[in-house]
Amino acid sequence: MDYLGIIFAVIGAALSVTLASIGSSKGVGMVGEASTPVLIDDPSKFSRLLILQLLPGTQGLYGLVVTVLVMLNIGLLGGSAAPLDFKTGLLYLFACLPVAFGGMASAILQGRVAVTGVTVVAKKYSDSTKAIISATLVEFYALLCFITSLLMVMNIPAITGAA
Amino acid sequence: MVRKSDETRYAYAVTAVRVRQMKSLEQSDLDRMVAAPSFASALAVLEAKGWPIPDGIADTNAILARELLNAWNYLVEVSPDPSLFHPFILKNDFHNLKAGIKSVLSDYEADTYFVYPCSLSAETLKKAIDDKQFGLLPEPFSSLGAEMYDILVHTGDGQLSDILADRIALDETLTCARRTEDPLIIELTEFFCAVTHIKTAFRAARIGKSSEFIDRAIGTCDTLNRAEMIECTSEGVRPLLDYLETTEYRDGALILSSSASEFERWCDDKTMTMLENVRYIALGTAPLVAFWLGKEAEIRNVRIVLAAKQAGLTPTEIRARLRRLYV
Repeated sequence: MDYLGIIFAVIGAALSVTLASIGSSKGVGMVGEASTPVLIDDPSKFSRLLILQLLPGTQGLYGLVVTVLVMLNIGLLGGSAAPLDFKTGLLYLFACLPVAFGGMASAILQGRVAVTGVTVVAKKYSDSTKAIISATLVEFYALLCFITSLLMVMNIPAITGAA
Repeated sequence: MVRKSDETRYAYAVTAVRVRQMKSLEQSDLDRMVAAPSFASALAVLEAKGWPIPDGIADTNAILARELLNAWNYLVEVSPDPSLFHPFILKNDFHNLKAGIKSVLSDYEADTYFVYPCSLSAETLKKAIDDKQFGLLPEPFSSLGAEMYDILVHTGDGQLSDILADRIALDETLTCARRTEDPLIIELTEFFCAVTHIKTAFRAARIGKSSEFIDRAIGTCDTLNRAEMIECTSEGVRPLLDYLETTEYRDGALILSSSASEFERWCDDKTMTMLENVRYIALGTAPLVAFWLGKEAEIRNVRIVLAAKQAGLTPTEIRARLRRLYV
């Protein structure tokens, strides 16, 4: 029964990085696909396209940070993993959900916005900063999810006294 | 239908066609062609836009056909599912079947008057017509080819074989469009089929064709009541126009009552109007559809300008004939 807590915490950590990375890879891939024809036509537009392509990639990093933090808290990284009670494990699992699902959804949607931005870069290069700003706005919601998960994971040891 | 989640598969294709569209003719290019003092200087405008124009006397049709085929090949190359766009080229397959059979019966090569792009393999079609083995073709080309051949050999009635082919072509185009489950493709195909039926009905009414002929020539579509249209067409032009004014094609009917060529222009412009909002769509099939139809409109305009230049029409007369562009 003691291992049930660890299992839930690891599921949360795994979900956090996996779902956010799925969203990021989908978003980055989508923008990359859309950018290729523009690069074939005019390679000098690479820098703006790279920014657009990088934007949906941050969610994967947010997921990874939360995952690492969970693993540190439960001692999985240092090799000092101690049995965790069921409730604490569940807390970790739920704490990971905002960055997992919010990260995934925002990365995909940010990718879609960035794809429209690619057309702006191709057709109206002088206005491409506006397209980058539009795509950046979606990042705000990914950040909200990340900060929420981060604060929750950081404070679980204090709540449960399992620090 | 391409679901929202599948639209992302079109990210590459959409940007690819948008980049290609940046090299399309714009209204200002057409204006320069119209204002050009001669046919040669109009061609020079095209050459400056990157169109390959051969030296010497230019074969306008070959230039335009090559440009259109290049656009199609590009669409096929970048699109994840090129079969979605077959409703827009099926008319060429049916044209090729008609032209091929007539060519063979007139001792020409079957592919003499083939037009491209087409969804059927030109080699297979040529072989099927040359060897009278229509079974090589898929349905409905197989049975239609055999029936057309019989009609032409036994009765020599070219008009009968043509109306048979045209009607099946429209029915098949609609069926093919509905199979895609893509709302824009269905809407555009429905419009194309409906206006083609209207043109057929108008011509039949004007020359007083029999009810039997009209019944054979006019097919079904969702936006026209076939029975009512056949009845009105057999009564004459005025009843037909009165009926059309009760349909969603009333604007066109008003134009048709004054000029058939103006109606053609209305149809082309209306298609571009239907694509107006597509330029704001970032993913999915719609931008690819707009690319293809926009290219057709561009070629149509270039054909009009070049033909008018050769015929010595004034810029004002040419402008009156130009269609809207998708830019």
